[in-house]
Amino acid sequence: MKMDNYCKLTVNSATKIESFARSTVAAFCSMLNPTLEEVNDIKTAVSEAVNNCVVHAYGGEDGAIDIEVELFENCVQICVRDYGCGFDNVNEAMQPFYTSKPHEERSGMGFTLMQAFMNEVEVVSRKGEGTTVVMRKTFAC
Amino acid sequence: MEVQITAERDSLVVRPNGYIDEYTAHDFRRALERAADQYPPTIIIDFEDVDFMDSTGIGTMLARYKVMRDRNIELCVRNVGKQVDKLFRLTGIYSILNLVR
Repeated sequence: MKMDNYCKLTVNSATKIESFARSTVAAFCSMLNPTLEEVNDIKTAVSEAVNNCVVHAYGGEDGAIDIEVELFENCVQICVRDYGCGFDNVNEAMQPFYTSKPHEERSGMGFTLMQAFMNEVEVVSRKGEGTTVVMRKTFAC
Repeated sequence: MEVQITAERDSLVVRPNGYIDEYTAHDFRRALERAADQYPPTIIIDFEDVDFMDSTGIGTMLARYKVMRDRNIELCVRNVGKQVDKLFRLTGIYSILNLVR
């Protein structure tokens, strides 16, 4: 499939940046004329992925979050990468209600929502090196 | 984030404004705590002015729901927009709170 366009965004890990990240990715995806519901799906999935970087990978410390968005004819691929703590067991981390911070008020639904709002989600993580989340969504247009 | 709390008959209405994510969730949590500390029979969260929420907001609501349940406070939501409604449906949170008009 031929790529139509792409953008790369690098932000420093901070809770304040999550709104900017999801809005920017959604605005870029709007070039494919998605429905409002599809735009909201993208925003939610990106918010969950970036929040994982901020809260879990970097634990509130500074750190780079790379976001790459590739647009194809009727689908988008979004890659969110961090260089934080990483984790060993991807399957465990992706279970609904799993959280690495059980003493905080966390739903443990981040990966579950990414999977629900996108068509495909792939996660690669290595302890001490970071995590890469690749999400794909096909638009009805 | 600005969160209004108003009395409406025997309920307290909590009305957040803007988006609820990691950056703003503590304001949302504090407003729900303040409302629950008044022990009303019902707390209604009015989502009319909320344009986006992610799972951080769900985590906040679940934790506050447990406190309210222990105090016999009923938790309701109203004016839920499409994005938040989908989030509620997919996380199953409608099973523990009531959608009111």
